[in-house]
Amino acid sequence: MQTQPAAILIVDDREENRDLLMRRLRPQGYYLATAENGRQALELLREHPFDLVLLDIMMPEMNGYQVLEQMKADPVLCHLPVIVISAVNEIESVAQCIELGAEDYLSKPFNRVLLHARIGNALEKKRLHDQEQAYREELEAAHQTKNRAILAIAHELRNFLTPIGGYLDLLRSGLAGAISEEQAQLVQIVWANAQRVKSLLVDLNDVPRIATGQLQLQPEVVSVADIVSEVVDALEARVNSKQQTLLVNVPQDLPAVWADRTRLIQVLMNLVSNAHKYTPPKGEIRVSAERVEDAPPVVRLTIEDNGLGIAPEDQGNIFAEFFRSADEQVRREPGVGLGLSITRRLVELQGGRISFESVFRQGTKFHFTVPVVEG
Amino acid sequence: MAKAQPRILVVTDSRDTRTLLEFALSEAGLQVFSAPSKKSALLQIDVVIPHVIVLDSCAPGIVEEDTLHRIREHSTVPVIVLNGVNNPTRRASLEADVAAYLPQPLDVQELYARIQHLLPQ
Repeated sequence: MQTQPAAILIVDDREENRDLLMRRLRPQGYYLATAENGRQALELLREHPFDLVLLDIMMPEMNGYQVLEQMKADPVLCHLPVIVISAVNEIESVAQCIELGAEDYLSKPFNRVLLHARIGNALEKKRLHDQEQAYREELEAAHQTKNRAILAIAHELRNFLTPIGGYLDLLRSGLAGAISEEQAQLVQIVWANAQRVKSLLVDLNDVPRIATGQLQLQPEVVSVADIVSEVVDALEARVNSKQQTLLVNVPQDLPAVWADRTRLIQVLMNLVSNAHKYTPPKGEIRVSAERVEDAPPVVRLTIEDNGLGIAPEDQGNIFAEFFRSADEQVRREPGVGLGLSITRRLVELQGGRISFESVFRQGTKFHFTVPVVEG
Repeated sequence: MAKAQPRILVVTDSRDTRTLLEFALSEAGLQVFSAPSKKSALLQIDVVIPHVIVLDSCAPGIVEEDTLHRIREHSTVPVIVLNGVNNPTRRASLEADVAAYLPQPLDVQELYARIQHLLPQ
């Protein structure tokens, strides 16, 4: 911590008052400066960093009230503590100064103990405020560094995945020459892992953007039926591979929604793919949509499965970043716990809400809403 | 008369990505030229006269706007940008010069489909 002496500005139009305070305070080792009137005080305050102002109220040219008002209106000076100096019979004026934002007051003639105690308190409060401010700035800088690092790493890794995925595709397709069935299986394992890395990197890319509010959505008129069928098509092979049933119920007359198409697909993809992952083979997944006459009206999508369910102790945490259940059956599926936190943010950023009901080992039902296109 | 093979110029500093695209796109019947830098790309444009350029925007020394601008001084060839800018506003200002943006990791099938779409019939 800095051990620099505190800087105090004494503002009083009467020289004998300024001298008296100087004499009393100098032995404490403070850095002391004086101003004869409000205008001079404000000039000094704007040029030098002070820790405390001792302010007389009745001064010619610019009085204590005006100084206080100007200080409180200044983004830099508004945090600087002010102790008002008053005569004993000036209690009304003191109250007015406190209302204007003064920290404390001292009455003349000065009581030595009170003088030092109140100055000490005000300075300590200022020191804590400055310290907190410094921590806040440090924290903010650390956050930004972290976010930049995440983005830079995700970016680099995505670039590396182009040749990895591309060459694997060549091997898989046989374009690079025939490979044995056993080799094909090995290639398939590498490929599946590369896919996981890829989807993790896509998620990682969203984390800092969502955290800093930099994620820019491009909402448009979107048909829910289109989105649902796109997601179902993309996941069909995976669902079939576990012999699961995927039932879709989207009414024909459903109104269009106002959403970022890509992000809406991402949300639905996440929820249906979770349903698929956390439902045993031969299980059932239902995707449905309905109009709800809320204010404003929304389309509510429901993704229901008869899978593992969410353990009661996990239910309060599933939307937290990097949360992973301790449930062994859940842990069999790879993941880092980003999907649902991103999903929730994406739903909320588009003006919707997400919720769920789950019975452990019986199944889970997620609902989310999207605003209907007005008019 | 046999139709001339469509010519594609791939601009990226990643040697592995260049080799991958050279291999995969030639297998698909395209003639692939590649450039590791903006300088090399600009030199080749006039000689190769590509039908489509695939530009990796994030390679060092390949600043997207600048390279696009220089390409446009040479020709009106369609450009597919890999990675691309994430900022939609900046992106919109480039829209006129870019035929498509594809994210990395690149789906080679999708790239091929986009190229096909851009080739003169």
